[in-house]
Order: sequence, then structure tokens, then C-alpha cells
Amino acid sequence: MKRESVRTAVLCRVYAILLYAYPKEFRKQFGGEMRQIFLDRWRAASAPRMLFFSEMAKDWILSSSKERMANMKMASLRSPLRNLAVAAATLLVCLFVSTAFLHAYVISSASMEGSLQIGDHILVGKVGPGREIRRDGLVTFRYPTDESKIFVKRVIGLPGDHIRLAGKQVIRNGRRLSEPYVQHNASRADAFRDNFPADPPTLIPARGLDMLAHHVSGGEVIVPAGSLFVLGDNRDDSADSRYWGFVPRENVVGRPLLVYLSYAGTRIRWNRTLHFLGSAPPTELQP
Amino acid sequence: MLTPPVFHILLSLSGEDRHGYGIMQDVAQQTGGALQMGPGTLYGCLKRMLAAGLVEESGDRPDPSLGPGSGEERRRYYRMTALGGRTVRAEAQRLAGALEAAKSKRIPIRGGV
Repeated sequence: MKRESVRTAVLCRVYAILLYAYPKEFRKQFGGEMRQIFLDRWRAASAPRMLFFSEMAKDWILSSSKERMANMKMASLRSPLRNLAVAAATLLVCLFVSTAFLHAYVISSASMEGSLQIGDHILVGKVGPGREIRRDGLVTFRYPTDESKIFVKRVIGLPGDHIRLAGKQVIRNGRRLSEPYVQHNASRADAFRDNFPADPPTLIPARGLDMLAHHVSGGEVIVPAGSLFVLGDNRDDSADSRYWGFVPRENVVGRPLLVYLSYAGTRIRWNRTLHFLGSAPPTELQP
Repeated sequence: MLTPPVFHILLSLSGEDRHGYGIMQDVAQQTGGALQMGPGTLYGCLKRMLAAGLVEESGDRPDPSLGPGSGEERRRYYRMTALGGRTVRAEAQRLAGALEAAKSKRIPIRGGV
């Protein structure tokens, strides 16, 4: 019952925002009543409510554009040039904002489970070349071994950091990290994965071998300049820097900000929808 | 000629004053669910009907079956004007004529009107 009311509140909030698609006067005159009707219809709709959503979406798109057009006709009689300029500026801003600051992705791998699940639709804020990257935050980057792929992992080491894992526990610069977001599948032990760095048991990518050959000292990986050491939150089941080496700084494209929609198959996961991905800072413990 | 939503809204208001959701339910019932209006479509029509003087806002008339917290304060009730009444009668007349024309062309009509 409680989950239901949270869901209802989120939906009404979303609908209230969607009402901004209508002209201002229209929204002022009818917005309250429309929200009420939305609520009435939502309560009357029976599960799975796909019909409700498709009807509301259709109504919203058609009627808001109709009201906008009606308004534009009125306004353009008064000042067609100004109207055209506003439309052009809006279009430019939308294109610019969407491509310059934000990217959208869908999570297709379980390697970040604990933080991100398969079917999460995320918005990623673009990170320019000059921007500082912080430890313990999430990043998206072009996978160094195949740059056509975009990966998301957690930043564990910045240049100069000394990293090792002992019994699945990350030790950075001599301090154990407490990472509440990490998930372990204790099923099988793996000496390399859990006690890193070590001699790799199986064939790993060349970049990983290069890291193990040139950037290990005193049983620790030392992150070189211009590079990042990243790990997946699904720690026992993640191909990450342990296997394919460092991420060059210039490969970083963004920082995940928000799960704007989440699907499990065809079902929406409401508790994950509109969920912000703030960097949950791990606490460094004494050695 | 009226659009189907406008005609059915007028029909639903010809018996009594109703609020938006009430109109929506009544129209769905009148048409056997064939005409399902969303809120945007409904209020788009009402806006134009208000401007044309076919309907007007009536005073507050809370539905007594709805208690406090039912959003009653957000609802507004609409009433058909005299002009609206003449319009809906003229449209019904026109539709009756159209139906006769269809019958004379031997178009089968279910329900035996």
C-alpha cells in the first residue's frame, strides 16, 4: 500500500511537469483540474495499466501540440517574427543542451550490480578534458581495448595511487576502503581477482599484462600519470582494470547522474526510476 | 457540424452540471467506450466551448459522495448555456437526418434505430 502511494505521488509529480508542455494560460486555467483527472483515472485504471499510460501519452502529445499551435497562430498574428525567433532559439537550446551536456545510455551488463542494474536507463553528464575526476565516483568511458564500446565503472585509483586487493578488500595507499555499494558472490574463490596484483591465472588482454609488467611495485599497482584504475561494483563478476589495465584519462566521457527509467523485462521498476546516482563516498579505514 | 467530442460533452451536460472527470465518464458511457478523451483533449474542447459560449462554469457544487481529500476543491463544474442547448438540438437533428439518408441507401444499422 505504501509503495503504491509513493508510485502515485511520483506519477502525479511527473504529470505536473509534463503540463509545462501546454501554453501558460491553458495550464493556469485547467492545470489543477487536469492533475485531478489524471489522479482519478490512475486510481480507476486496472493493472498492468499499460493502456492507461499509452492513452495518457497520446493525449498529452496530441493536445499539447494542438494548444501550442492554436497559441502560435494567435501570437503570430501579433508578431510573427518574434515567434519564429523563439521557436528557433528553443530548438537550438534543446539540441545544444542534449548533445553538449547529457548522454543517455541503457545498462546492458551486470558488472555494476549493486549500483546499476540491467535495464536501467541512465543520464550521463559529459565530462570535458579539463574536468577533475574524483575517486570513488562512477565514470563512463570508451573501453580501451575496443573504443566503440562505452563502459561504466567506479574510479578506485587516480594517478599516483597505490592499489591492491587483499581478500576482496581494496587497499588504497595503505588504507582499507569500506565500500557499501560493492556486491560479492562468494561462490568461488579466485586468487587473482581477490588478491590483486598477482600472476594472472588465465590469458588476459595485452593491456592488463602490460600493467602487471610495468606498473607493479611492492605488491601494489601504481597508477601512472594520465590514467585511472577502475573496478566494477559487482566485484567478483566484473571485467575491469584488474584484467584489462588502466583507463586513459582522455577515454573518460562522462559521469552517471540519474536513472531516469528502469525496466526489468517489460515491467517498470518504480523504486529505481528517478533515482539519483550521487557518489556514495566510501570511508577510508585505518590499516 | 460539431466534432464528436464537443457533441458528446454537450450531451453529457444537457442533464446536469458536471466536473471534468464526470464528463469523461459520461461520454465513455454514452459511446460504449468508443470515445475516450484524455484530460488534454477534454480541456482543449472545453476551452473552445467556453470561448464560443456553449458552456459556462457553474458555481461550486461539490459532489456529496466525495469526502474531504478527494480533490474536490480542485474540481470545477460546467453547465450548458442556452446557446449550447440550441446547438446540441440542432446537431442531433442533423445527425437524425444523416441517419435517414444512410437508411435510404440501405446501409445496415445495428441496434434497429
